[in-house]
This record gives sequence, structure tokens and C-alpha cells, in this order.
Amino acid sequence: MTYLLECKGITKNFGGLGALKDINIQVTKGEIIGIIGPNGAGKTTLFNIIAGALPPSYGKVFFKGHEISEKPAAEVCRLGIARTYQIVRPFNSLTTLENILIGLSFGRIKPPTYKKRIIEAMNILTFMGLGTKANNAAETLTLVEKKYLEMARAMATSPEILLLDEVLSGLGPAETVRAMDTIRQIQTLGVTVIMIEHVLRVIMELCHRVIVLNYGVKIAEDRPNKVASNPEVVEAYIGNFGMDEQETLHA
Amino acid sequence: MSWIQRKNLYLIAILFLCVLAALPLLASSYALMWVFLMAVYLTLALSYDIVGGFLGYMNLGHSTSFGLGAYSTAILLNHDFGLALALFLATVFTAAFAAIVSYPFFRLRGAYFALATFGLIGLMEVLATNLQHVTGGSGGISTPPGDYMVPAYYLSLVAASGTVILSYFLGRSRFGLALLSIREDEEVARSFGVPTFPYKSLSLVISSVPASLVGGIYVWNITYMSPSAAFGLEIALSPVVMAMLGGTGITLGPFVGAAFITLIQELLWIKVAYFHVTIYGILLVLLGLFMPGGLLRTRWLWPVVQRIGFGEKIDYFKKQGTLQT
Amino acid sequence: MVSQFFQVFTGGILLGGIYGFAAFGLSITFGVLNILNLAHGDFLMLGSLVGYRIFLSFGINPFIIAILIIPLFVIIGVGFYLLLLKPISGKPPNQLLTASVLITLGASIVIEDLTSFFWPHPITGIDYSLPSLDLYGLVISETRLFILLFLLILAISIQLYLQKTYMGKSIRAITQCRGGARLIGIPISRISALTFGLGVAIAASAGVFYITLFTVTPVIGIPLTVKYMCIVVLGGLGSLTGSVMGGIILGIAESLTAYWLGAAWSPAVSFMLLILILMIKPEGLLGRK
Repeated sequence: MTYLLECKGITKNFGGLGALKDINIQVTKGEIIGIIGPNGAGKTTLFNIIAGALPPSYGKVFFKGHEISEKPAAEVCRLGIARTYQIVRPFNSLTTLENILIGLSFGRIKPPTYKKRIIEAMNILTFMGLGTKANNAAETLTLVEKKYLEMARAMATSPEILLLDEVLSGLGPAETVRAMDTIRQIQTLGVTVIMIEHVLRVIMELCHRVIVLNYGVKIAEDRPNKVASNPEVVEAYIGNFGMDEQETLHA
Repeated sequence: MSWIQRKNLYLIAILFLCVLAALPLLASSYALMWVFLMAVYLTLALSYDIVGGFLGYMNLGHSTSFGLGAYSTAILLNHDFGLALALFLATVFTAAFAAIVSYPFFRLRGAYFALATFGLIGLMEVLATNLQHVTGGSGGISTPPGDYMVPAYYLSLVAASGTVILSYFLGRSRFGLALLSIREDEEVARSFGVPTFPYKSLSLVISSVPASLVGGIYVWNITYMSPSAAFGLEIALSPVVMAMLGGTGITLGPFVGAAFITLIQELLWIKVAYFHVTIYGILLVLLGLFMPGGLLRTRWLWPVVQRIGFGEKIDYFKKQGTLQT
Repeated sequence: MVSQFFQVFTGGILLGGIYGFAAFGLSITFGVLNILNLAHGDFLMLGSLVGYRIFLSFGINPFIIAILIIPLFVIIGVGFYLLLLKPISGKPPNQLLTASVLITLGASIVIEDLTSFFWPHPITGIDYSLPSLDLYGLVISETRLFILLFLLILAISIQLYLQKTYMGKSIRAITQCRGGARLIGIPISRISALTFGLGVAIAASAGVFYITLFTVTPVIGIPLTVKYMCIVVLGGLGSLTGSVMGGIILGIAESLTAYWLGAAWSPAVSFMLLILILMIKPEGLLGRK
């Protein structure tokens, strides 16, 4: 069976440091997959490798059956894997609309024609709730708006897989709910979502499957509730979650 | 409202051009030369801005294109080439040079790029001085004499206007948007599919064309070129300062910068006899300390600039009308 | 013929040593401040002139002058930093670039213009030579040997300084990870000021020796800075060994070029090397990516 995305034996070494060791992942279309783990576990490195920003030291990445391990980020993006950044990186002096237009005009294999570009860009902006901010410079946005901009820009490339890197960090409860809704809507549009997160509630409610990384090794992969009661996972996380979250773990 | 302001601006611009066009009939040759030089400098400043402003790479070596264009044109003119062909071939040569040079140079970023391109000028000056049988050495090169002031004047206006239009439409194009994104965050731009390297190279080549053309026009008019005139500090820095003073990445920028410098020249330098260069340097320092974004980016002026459409935003909405959101 | 070649070669090493030394000053400045000081070469020039003045007026041994000049220029450098560079140190990267280029370029222009006014004549080399050393038929000027030795000792002391002292370690820390350095309490602003002073002083010190080989005019600043930058790119940022190695390579290349093609072509050499290294190994010989 050909998975949408498959990582086989992904290993990444930075000099003497083994960031990822023999990671195997299979992703089917339509899933929402969570990747969790303590800081430094290698989650963002994995994203970088999938997205083409870094090559793996060993192992291969397959997208729809074709190997993309060595392909540059621009090509991977055009093929249909888009990503957001953990620390938001919008094009600051450009307007929100222009930020989207970049993704729209360059991130697809077949960019839309001139007339359709604005309309599509505005649609994406509206979908993300940024419609009124179309002509504002990206640097004037609040952090929350910038996170939506990150997602919007990634969505503008018409991806099949969306890699969200801690998109929900720093959001308050109400904003978290809204963001979760947005991600659900993204999924109904047919996009497969892989998200790195620390907020346990989100993982529990949104994800079909959760993968747990610790020191570069996959220590668990299962349904969210099973993962939460996995003793190894709990041990890896002790100290990283707040008290109330720990209670939820045992619930 | 912005639409009406824009229309007025066009009218003013056209009126201004008409006045300039009529100038040869009305004014002295001194005034003509003055406008000619200003047109040359403005073309250089605007074309510098394509790489320096839009792309965000400070190409301090921009005058290399000017010098190359001037020397190539001079050599061709001396071999009995017509002006049009000479300009054309010289520009092709300069553009090719820009393309080749972009390979190593765009591996540098930021200050390194600025300094390396600046050093390129020094290299060119050495070459121009040493390759004597080709360039006439430190004594310079002369082209066929004649009074070309009037046609050169018009040509310079055409070049300057053309470059304004180029800059304006670049700011509205997909390519220009890509350049801006590279300026903002090159790595992210690349990850979203922007072909950073070819585009950087292309922008350098595009910026070299107007510079080369005015170099050729200049030498045709003045009938003389020397290494220091082609690659010296004056021609290298003045356009850059004009662009920075007004505001990089803005089409209107160099005009404001040029106006400001001219103002200072008239007011200050007439009064103070010495230390012109020092004052120039102090001006640069003050600019860097207080207004590195340029005059047009000061807080109260910037929204006005954006509204009349000369800001960095790409104004699609005017064409589409209001969009249903 | 061989001895001539050797002469040129050793001359190149000496030249390169001086270059590398001054380039290192630029390298640490850039590493700590993230500002490329376009006026760096001008400080070498000022060092040369001041050294010359002192030598003429007081007849002090140039080696001692080279050492004395360091604290003087540290103070000048710190003042320069506090006045002109500190105000922009907080700006985001693109603005920092434009601002720093404008400021240091402007400063360079001002320094060169004012110096031209007070020193209208080019200064030819100081003549403080010692008898030459005859080594198996190859003649080495003893002065040159001493200068090289001196620079070596100075370089080693600086390397020790960087490795052992608080200041030195702070410099390396900031160069490698600015945020982390701030988090652990390193006073970035103060260290930046001192680093700039140190970098500039190193250049000035090198200048005292530069004048033994070359004529110094007020305008050599910018071409020199370009050369240093080429060396820094060649050798890799932040590495003393890299700068010295890069400097020596450049020095030898320049000497050989001057010998074979004539002195007029020397300025082209640094450029060719720069382009070469950019195409082959952009992070420099000893640099990290």
C-alpha cells in the first residue's frame, strides 16, 4: 500500500550529536497526526527533513511513493508539503495579502492566473479570519494573527500535507478552540495535517494518532488516549507538563 | 481618493516632462548639462534600487555597470559603430558580466556582499588603468568629438523615464514581489518555492541595463572617459546615497534623495569652502544613525507615500475594485 | 633566481602576516557586533601615521610603539563605538546593515578626508632596518624576521587571551550564540565596546608594521578593508588561525603576482582569491557553516 508520506529509517546526526535515530512513520491521507515529545527530542528536525530543509544522514522520505529525501525545500513545497515555523517568520514589511501571494504564486506547480490570484488569496485570508487585515503590513499583526498568517501562507501553496510546528503555543483558551476548529476545517478540505504540539488537550481532541519522540527515538505511536497512559511517555514528560496536565494524563 | 491623487500625480509628471523637453530651446547649455547629469544620476539610483532596495542586497558596486557600459561604448564608437549598435552591444556585454559575477557574489550576504561589490569597483579601476591598449590607461579614452549635448539630453531623459517605469512596474509584478520576499527572509522565501538564486541573478542583470545605457550615453556626450570618472567614488556612491536618502525600495525615493542632496549642495557648499567631502561623510553618518530607512519612511510621511501608491504594497485593488470578502 | 623567489615568498609571508593580523581584528568585530566595519582599514592607516609620528619625534623602537599603540586605539575604538555604533546596535538585521554601512562608510570618508588635510604627503616606509641574515646563501632581512616573530608572539598572546580570560571567552560566546550569551549574563554592550576597541587596536598595531613595507596614504583605507574582508571570507569568520592563514595565502599570492605581472596587478589578487573561495568553499577554509 502506498502511503501519502512515509519515512523509512530517518537518522540525522549533527556532528557527534544524534538528533534522530531510525525514525519510521507512515501517514495516510486525511489523518491528523500529532508529534509530541520533550524539547530537544528532534521534532522540528524531523519536520525540516520532511520539508526538504535538511537532508537526512541516513534513511529516506517518500511522498506518494516517490522519494523526496534529497529534494530541495522549494521543490518539496511545490510537490505538496507545506510547513509553518515554530517561531513565526512572516515577510514583515509585506502586507498580509502579499505574504499569501508569495505562497500562491510560487508554491504551486501551476499557479493561478493573474486575475484569479487575488480572489484566491482573499479567500484564504478570509478563511483564516484575516480578511480585514489584507492590506496591513505583516509586522503590525498580533502574535495570534501572525500564526494564522503562517498557516494561511502554507495553505496558499495548495498542499496535500501541512506541517504545523507548535502553531498553538502561546494561545489562550478561546484562541486555542478557534485554532482547533480551523485545523479541523483544513482537514475537511482534504489536507493531511501533521502537528507538533505541547498542548495535550489539543492532541487528545484533534489527532487520530500520536507519535512520541524522545531523544531522537520514537518511543510510542498510538491513539491519543493510549499514548497518554503509556508509562514511558509519562516518564519522558515529567517536569515538562504543568500539574493539571499531569492529572489529565492519568485520567 | 488615492485614485484621484494618482491621476494628479501623472498629470504633474507629464507636465514636468514637457517642460524638460522644451528646455533646449529655452535654457543655457549649463542648465542642459545639469539636467543631463541629474538624469544620469537618477537612472543610476533607480537601477541601484532594484538590487539594493527591492532585493535588499546592497550592491555598492553598481557603478561597475556604468563604467563597463561607458568604456565598451567608447571602444565601439571609436571603431566606427553607430551609437545605437554600440549602446546595444555594450549593454549586452555588461549584462553578461553581471550574470557571471552574480554567481560568486550572491553567495555572500549583508555587509559582506556590500563590501565585496564595493571592492569590485577598485578592481575595475585597476583593470581600466592597466589594460592600456584597450582602455587608454589612466589617461582615459576619447570618443569621436562633436556636439551631442541636445540629443544626449533627450536620450538621458528617455533613459531616466524608462527606468522609472521599469521600477514602477517591477514593484507591481510577481517578480518584484519575489524580490521583496527574498529581502524579508530569503530562507523562508526559498522554502515557499521562490527560485532565489535565478531571481537574484536576474535582478542584478536587469539593474545593470539602465546603468550601462547611461554610461554609454554619458561617454558619447562628454566624448571622454577615465578610470576615475567611470569607477571613482563619486559615481559609485552618489546614486546609492540618493536612493538611501530618499528611501530604498520606493520608486519615488531617489527623486527625494536627489532633491535633498541638491538642496544641501546649494545651501551648504556655497557657504563653506572646504571639507565638502567631510560634510558628505558626516551626512552619511547622520543618515545611518537617524534615518536609515530614508526620508520617505519617516513616521508621518510613510502613510501618505503608501496611499499615493508609491509604497511597497502592490496595489491590485485599484484594478479589481472592491472585493467581496 | 631561487633566492629571489625566496625573497618574494618570505616578503609575501610577512605581508600576509600583517594582513591576517589586521583581518583578525575585523573578524572579531564582526563576530561580536554583527557589524562590518568599513572604516577598519582606516584605523590601520591611522596606526601607521601615529606610529610614524612617534618614531620621528621620540625615536622609540617600533616594536614598542606597536605595543603602546594598542591601549591608545582601544580607547579611540571604544569611543567610536559608543558614539556611533551603540545607538544602532539594537536594530533588526536589515536596518542594521544599512545603518552600519552608512555610518562606517561615512566615518571612513571623514577620516580619510581630514587626514588628507593634515597629512598632504604620502608617508614612505620607516627605515629601521637591522643587518640581514645570511642563511645558506638566502638572504633574509632580520627586521622582517623580527616582525614576523613579533606578530607571532602577539597572535599567540591574543589567542591565549581569547581562550583564558573572561573577556576573551565572552567574545567567543557572543560570536557563537548571542542569545545564549545574554541569558547567562554577559554584558553584551560593554563587551561589544571593548571588542570594537580591541579589533581596531589590532589593526592600528599592524599598521605600525605596515609602514615598514609600504607607502601610506590617507586613502588606502577602503581597499585595505576590502582585502581584509576577502581574508576573513577566505579564512573563515571568527578564527584567528583562519585569518592568519588566509592572510598569508593572500600575502604570498600578492607578492608573487607583483613579481611576475607587476605591482599594478596586486589589487586584483585579493579579488580573484575571494571569487575562487566563494565558488569552492563559501564558508572559508576554517569556517563553520
